[in-house]
Amino acid sequence: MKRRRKPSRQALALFGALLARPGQWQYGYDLTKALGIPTGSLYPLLIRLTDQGLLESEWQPPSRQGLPARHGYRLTHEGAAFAGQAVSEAPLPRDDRGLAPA
Amino acid sequence: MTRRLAALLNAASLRVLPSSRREWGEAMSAELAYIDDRAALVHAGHCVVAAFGERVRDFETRFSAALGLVAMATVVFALTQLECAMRGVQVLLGRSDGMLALLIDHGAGPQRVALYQTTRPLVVTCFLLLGAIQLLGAWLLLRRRWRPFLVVWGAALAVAVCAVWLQLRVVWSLDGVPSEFNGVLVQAVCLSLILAWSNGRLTGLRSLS
Repeated sequence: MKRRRKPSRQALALFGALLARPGQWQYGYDLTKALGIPTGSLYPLLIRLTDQGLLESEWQPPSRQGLPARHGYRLTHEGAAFAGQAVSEAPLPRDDRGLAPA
Repeated sequence: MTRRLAALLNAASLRVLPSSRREWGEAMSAELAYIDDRAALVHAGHCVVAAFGERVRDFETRFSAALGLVAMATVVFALTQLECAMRGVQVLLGRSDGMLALLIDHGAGPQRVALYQTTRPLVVTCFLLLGAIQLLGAWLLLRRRWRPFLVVWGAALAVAVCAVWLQLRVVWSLDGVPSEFNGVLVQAVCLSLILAWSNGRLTGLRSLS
């Protein structure tokens, strides 16, 4: 595994949310709502993690007719291993905004 | 109204995002359809922030901005050389020559004055050439035409050496680095740094992939 920087609190929160539903596609706005991370921070984070090969993204068919396809995100195998380790090694959060290890 | 504003903000973020991140812009846009009006506006506002962040981080944007700054500095140097040349042309056309008066004040004899007057049109020509060559260099730099730029850079260096050599035949010494070399020196130093940085960055990106 490549050497990586220590994940930020926001990255840890995102890892926690993605690890909670392994293999399932999750969506940008739902993640911002669930984690309380603003879109302006979440998308750059998603981009960075995808570039590093920790996340995969794919266009998913719309849930209802007339709506556009959504860009879904989930952890790759490498990402899941890294996220699991990062979350388990993370210090206990001082608040309850989804930062607890999954 | 709120939805339209959100759509406008979203269109703005799509424009701001670097082309390599186009898909991410579309991903952020698609989410708008799944959000209520008020949240859509906030979401779109944050998308603009994210798009600007990506633009600033974008390697291509930084590289272009760095080249643009060097090109701008080159244009400033070129205009300075052309201004000097214009002053020289005015002197050749009969305007009073402060340099000649200064030479005489410093005890230059008739032989040196004659040499100065012979050299003057050549120096003015060198300044005109240098200014024009540097403007061409700035244009080539912006177009990223590296090979012609190298030729032009070499030509600018040769003309600058020539101008300084001609002047040194008349005056006794020059203080510091002659201004004729400013443009070529700034280009040599800045472009070496920019190319080294971009090469390191590209190597890093290759090792990531």
